[in-house]
Amino acid sequence: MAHSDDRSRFGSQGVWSRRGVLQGGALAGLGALGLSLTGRSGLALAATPEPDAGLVAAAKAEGTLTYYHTTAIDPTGVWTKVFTDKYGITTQNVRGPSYPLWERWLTEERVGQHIADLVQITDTVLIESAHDEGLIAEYAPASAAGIRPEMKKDGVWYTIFVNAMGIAWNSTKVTPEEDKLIRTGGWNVLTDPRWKGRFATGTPASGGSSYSYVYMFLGGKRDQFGPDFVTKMAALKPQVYDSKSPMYDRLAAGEHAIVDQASQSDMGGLYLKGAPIRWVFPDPTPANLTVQTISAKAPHPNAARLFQEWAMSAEGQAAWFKVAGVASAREDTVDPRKAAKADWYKEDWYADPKDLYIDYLSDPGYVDPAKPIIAEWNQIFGR
Amino acid sequence: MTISAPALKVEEPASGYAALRRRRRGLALPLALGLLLFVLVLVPILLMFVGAVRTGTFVDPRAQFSLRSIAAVYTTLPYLKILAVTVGASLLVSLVACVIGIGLAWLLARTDLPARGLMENAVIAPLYLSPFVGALAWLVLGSPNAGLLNVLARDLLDVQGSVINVMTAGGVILVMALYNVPYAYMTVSAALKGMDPSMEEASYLNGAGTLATALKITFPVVRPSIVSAFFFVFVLTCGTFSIPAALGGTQALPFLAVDIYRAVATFPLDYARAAAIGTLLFWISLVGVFFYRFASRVATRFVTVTARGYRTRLVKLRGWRWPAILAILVYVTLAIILPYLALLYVAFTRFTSSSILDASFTLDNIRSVIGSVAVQQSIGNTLLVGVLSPTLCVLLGIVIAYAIRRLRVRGGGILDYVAMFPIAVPGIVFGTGIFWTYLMTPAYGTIWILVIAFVASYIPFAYRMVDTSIIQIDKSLEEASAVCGASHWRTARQVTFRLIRPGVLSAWILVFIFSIREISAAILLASPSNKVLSVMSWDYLEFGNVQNAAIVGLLQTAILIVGIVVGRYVLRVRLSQAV
Repeated sequence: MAHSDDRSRFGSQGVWSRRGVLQGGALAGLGALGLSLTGRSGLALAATPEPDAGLVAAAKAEGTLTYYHTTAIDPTGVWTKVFTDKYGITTQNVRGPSYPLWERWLTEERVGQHIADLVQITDTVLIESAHDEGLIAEYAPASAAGIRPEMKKDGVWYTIFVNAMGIAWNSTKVTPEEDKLIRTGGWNVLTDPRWKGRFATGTPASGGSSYSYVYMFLGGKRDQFGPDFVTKMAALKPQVYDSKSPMYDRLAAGEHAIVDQASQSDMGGLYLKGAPIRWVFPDPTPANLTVQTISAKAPHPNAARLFQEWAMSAEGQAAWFKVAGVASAREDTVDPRKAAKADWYKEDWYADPKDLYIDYLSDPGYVDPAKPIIAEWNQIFGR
Repeated sequence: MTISAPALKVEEPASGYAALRRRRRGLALPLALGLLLFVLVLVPILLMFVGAVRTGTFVDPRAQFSLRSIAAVYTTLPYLKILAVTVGASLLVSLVACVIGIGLAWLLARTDLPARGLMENAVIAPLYLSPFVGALAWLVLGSPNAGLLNVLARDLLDVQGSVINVMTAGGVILVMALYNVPYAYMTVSAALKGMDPSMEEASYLNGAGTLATALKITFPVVRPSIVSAFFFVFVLTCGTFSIPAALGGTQALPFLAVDIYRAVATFPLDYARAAAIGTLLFWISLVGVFFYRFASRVATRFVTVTARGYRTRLVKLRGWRWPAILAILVYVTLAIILPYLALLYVAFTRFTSSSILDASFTLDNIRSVIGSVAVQQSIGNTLLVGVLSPTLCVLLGIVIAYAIRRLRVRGGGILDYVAMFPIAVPGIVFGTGIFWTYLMTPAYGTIWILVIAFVASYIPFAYRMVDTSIIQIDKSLEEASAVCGASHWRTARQVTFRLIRPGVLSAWILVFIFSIREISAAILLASPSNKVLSVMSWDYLEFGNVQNAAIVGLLQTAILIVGIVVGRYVLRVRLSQAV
């Protein structure tokens, strides 16, 4: 099958084998996110090709599109509005939790209820089987040439952003000593008995990002962490959330002193609202991709293609930066706040992730449709 | 005046073409109603049972038939334990809600408390708050470390630890009880108000005191209503998922309905397991519905609307007046004042801060929600669903009740049973059934699928309330009309429908409230063109935007209050006499 050949590009050595095609030797020691953060934003907008005029005209004639997404409602709405303002094409955004939203889209497509034009998901494994079933439209946007090779499957799915996950804490709920411990202690901090009753986590069953996070501990880096590490975490009897965002809210409120699976976009949002939140990215830092694909029977195929063109362009990626401070899938697009030392970039406790763990997308354990590590995690946590 | 008595005419022996036509005509209505209820109610339930024995969704090409999920849910310890906890907790919730509801009903219907009308409105006010948003408010108020009440107690009174913790089994049960008190109150209050007071009068005349009369006369007479309220709350609680889900998921209190949600929302998505748990809940609820129906029937025997007028003697509370007022105020504070204050606080904060003194306030959240196109669309959808669902639901309820009670159509007993079925199906399961029933129809993805789901879900309430109103009418009133020469239709129009009008309007208002607040089925059936406010608040909460979720919750309440005010002052509906 054609796609399995493509998938070989994502082998565990994939990122490193293509270092040569990535920009500059200075990037060599960094992971994918680190690479993006050192990119050249100034060149970005000029370098992106404009979409085909015929496509733009056809898309405008369709006038609208429906976007199934898993990212937060308002930031996504702000982001898609930039597209609407540019092309006059309205978007109907439908948000849902990753897995149920995907399952629902599959069901709709299978019975001929074609509603969604594009679908966003955090679990690329699921797209593969839908592609096999013929439910995905093959389209390679010209703008996606700038997307990192390991962050796309050409013609099938493309990454909108990369989400690194670390440890976050409420600075009013920890002592200065604990604050220092978290910043320097690495992942082992999460097994410290002092957090009993003060720690919260999310189930890997909730979606692709949590699954990817837990996969690092029980799958890809099992030798380094493994069940013993997770058992020690479970012994702290953390509050387990089915959805991570409410956990972040409760962290900001001070219900929990410390949480894991802390994503830059969510923590940055709370930080900007004035919440007493800090976060670190211990090494290795698990990350996952939020990707999107076009439905084979999209009711507005041209609008969907134009949106994919725009979303993958430097302009679309930069627009995403404005609503969420996460790393781009393009190497030529970075958050301007970083260069300006603005927001959390000015804080002494903040540091970009250095050793990003992202090269697991084709690990047999990761792509196993049964996702056995979820069952193992559930067993360890007694769920 | 010509007196004719067609109603008393002995039916002639059925013969010939006319009799055949009459028989056919007699079958048409029950068959049409039966077919409608079959599609509306039974098909989604049947699909739930079929779904429980498949390994995937109905359209999954790899799915097969298997008893695996049924066997796991019905025979393995984890599920049986959760079942026991669900039933036990639901019984406790019913008990607490009924004790409070009965006390409040007696105080407001039988004593000389001042401002009873105002207090009655306050007692049923929790109905205007979605239980899910109420749970969200209580999470902000009563979580152990960051709950506003706990932080205030710590800061102001130097209390160590937490004074309240809603994220425990006890906390979840109490919050659920709080939001079920209005149902218990309305049922018992209606029975008390409808009860012939001559029995209590006779007790007083024979020298019995207030307590003796309450215990020996009032309580036994309204006992069926209490039993009915108890099982009604039990059935509702068994299927509740939003409150235990919002207050810490299954960690605080394992609950079958939460497990259903987890089965369809977290990996591995297992619709068969969700459906199998749904069938388990169905049987439990069916037992509850059996008792509820039985008690409701007995209760109606004591409640009569007759041509005779009466006046109830009110008990003078004297020294107990202030403790009684205080008790009502405590309930109102816990159920309404504190939650709304918490929601208002959250709505204006930049992030949910546990310290009110340190919080930073903003109008940005309000601007963002009001300016959101999605929210504006969902307000329109909510209003549309809020008008269409109760109207269609009550119309159907009237037709069924009238056909069974007055036209005495064949198969009336079966229609009665089927119409009551949805009460035994948790919203989240019924929503899944509706999803599969209408997936391949043009209704899918439109506002109509929500209307269909709500009409089907709430037909038991509309039907039962209209039915009760019809039963309560002394038949002599209709017979008098018939004896005076009025046709069947004229009697229905001028006597029956006029007398049941308050019941019909109350049913409309109740279904209106349910339709605005409903969340479980709405989440499953949401599409770009049919999003309602409850789905928006859930979506916001899912993404940790508690501020926007609270604002949407307040918007829902505003819509509910407008509906209630129109009902109360334009249509003269008294919701407290609804059930």
